[in-house]
Amino acid sequence: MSLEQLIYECRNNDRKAQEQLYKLLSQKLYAVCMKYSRNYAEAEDNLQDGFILLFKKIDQYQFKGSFEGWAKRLMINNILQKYRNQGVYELVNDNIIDQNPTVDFDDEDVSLDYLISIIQELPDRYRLVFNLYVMDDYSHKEIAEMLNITIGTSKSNLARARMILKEKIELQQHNRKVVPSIQ
Amino acid sequence: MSERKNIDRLFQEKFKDFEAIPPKNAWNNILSELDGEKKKRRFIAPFWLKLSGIAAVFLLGFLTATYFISGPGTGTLTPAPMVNSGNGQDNTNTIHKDKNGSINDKNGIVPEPVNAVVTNENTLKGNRNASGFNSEAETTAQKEHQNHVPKQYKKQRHTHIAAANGRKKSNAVSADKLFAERNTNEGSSKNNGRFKQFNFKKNNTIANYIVMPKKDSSEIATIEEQENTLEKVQKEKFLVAEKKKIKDKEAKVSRWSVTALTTPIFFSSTSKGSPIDNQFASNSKDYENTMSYGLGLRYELNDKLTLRTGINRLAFEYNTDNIVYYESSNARSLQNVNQTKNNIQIQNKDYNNLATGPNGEVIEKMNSGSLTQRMGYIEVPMELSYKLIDKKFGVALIGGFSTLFLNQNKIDLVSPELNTTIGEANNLNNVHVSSNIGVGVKYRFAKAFEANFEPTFKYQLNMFSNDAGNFKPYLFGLYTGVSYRF
Repeated sequence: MSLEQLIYECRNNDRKAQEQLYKLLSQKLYAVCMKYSRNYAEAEDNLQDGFILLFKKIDQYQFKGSFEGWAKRLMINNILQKYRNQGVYELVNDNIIDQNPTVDFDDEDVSLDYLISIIQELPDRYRLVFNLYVMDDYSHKEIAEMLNITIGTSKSNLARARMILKEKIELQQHNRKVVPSIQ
Repeated sequence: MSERKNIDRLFQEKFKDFEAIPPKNAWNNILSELDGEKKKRRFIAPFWLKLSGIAAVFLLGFLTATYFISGPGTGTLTPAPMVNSGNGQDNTNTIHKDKNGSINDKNGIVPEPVNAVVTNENTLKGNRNASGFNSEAETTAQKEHQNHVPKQYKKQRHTHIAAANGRKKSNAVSADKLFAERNTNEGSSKNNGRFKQFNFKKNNTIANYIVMPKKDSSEIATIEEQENTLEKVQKEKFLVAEKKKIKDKEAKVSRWSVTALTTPIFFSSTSKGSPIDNQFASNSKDYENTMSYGLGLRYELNDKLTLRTGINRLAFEYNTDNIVYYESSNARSLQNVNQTKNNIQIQNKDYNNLATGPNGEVIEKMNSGSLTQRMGYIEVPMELSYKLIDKKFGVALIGGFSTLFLNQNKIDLVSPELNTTIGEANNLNNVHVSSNIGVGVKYRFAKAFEANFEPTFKYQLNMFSNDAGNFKPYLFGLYTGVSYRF
């Protein structure tokens, strides 16, 4: 069955097709939820809500651009909408020069698990801006529109996020050198 | 091998092929919500709600037990093996385990109902995927170079993925190929097991990791503090709103259902003895299996407890073997039988004075046979069930009692020579009660329909008015049926 056919069957609310589509995309979309959520439980909720929304809105997919890209954007927007409702974006503005600091690290030692955990630990808006800009290639202009903040705020949030992440990675690297890990 | 990279590049590379396996129950939750079920939410069950279940079951057990301990003609009866103690324990256990009942993740997030609208799609650049993929491909190449993968293999993989991507854009890609592509990805990511088996790490000592730059530390701390308080306030508001929504939703969900049941009944006694006559106490008895039919009505008191009642027709039947009978002008009735056939003397085959009979008369012709006692009832159960598992497939404990109204009472003599009704038992109560305990298994096969299978043990408490001849009957029924929620 082609993807196109699968999408058409999902539009008819065919449970089998929906399950197949879920199997096809759930791992990629769960990864998105992991990055954008505060923790594991929230990621799971976001995945579930996102898929339900996806099945509701699947008839809005125009077959322009990849379906995976469409689904991913829908996931992200759904999460942003949730934070919007929680008032996460109503933060005071602050100004920091946009910069992209470098970090010393040993590739073997920096695990994906650790990176995920420090992303999730970021304050909500820093996490969203960092993910949107760094991981998903959105521009500051787009982010500013999506989060209803100024471009300057977006830039300074990104800089702060980078700084926090850098400190955490460096500290972890430092600790590993001082106390050899038990692995 | 330490190297210097900028933060963005580090994260982009590490998360390039990142996929995570969702929890197994995720799809089931999605499915049940698609099927229009109420959403599983983290919901704090009020304290009284937890206690009400335990209390109700105990009360029911207590009332039944006291009624029969102090009731008439029940000297030999033991208190009912009620469901209360077991159920009570289960209550507490389940409540402790109840994952919906407590908000224990660190942020206490309650999921939002899905009403978000995708608003920003139009602002997205059409070529994002293409460019994103190219950079991805580049970094893949680099990464693989580091991993010393043979070059030829790399190239093959790239062309394959690139081709697949191209097809994706032209909307002609087949699902099979997508799967194939996925498989390749999976294959490669299996090498780095951590990509696939992502383990959630708890928020361990963030404080240890946060070392802020000196000039900014106070500033960032203030912002974080502000954010924290803001989040808290939002969360509280959110929780209150959620609870309201849940209440509203619950009010709409129907709590009533009807059930049609057919039940094979296995009738037996826990002791020897005969309610017909003491002389038959040690005779062997055959218990007939019968069928019961009925309708049930159920009302869900809360998420866990369901009150069940209904009406069933059922009959008990058993044979007392090894009896003999003969014609006698002066026949003596059996102990607990209102005998309508006065010219038939019935007695135990092993009776001592067979040659002359109990009245001293000379017996001319004696036949052997058996006695069949049949008792029919209209049963009205009153039970509580406690759900242990409540999904598409469910398990519940059932406990309660039934009131049984006698509507058929006869004793037949069955022999090769003669089949006749000899009368009716005079020691059967018109109304008696049974104590019920069972396990219910259900399977929801459509939105409003469930298949039920409930093996239930029903101990008959005061079936006989005075002399039960140490006969302690019970029935075991496989209650099988279909219920409809309306």
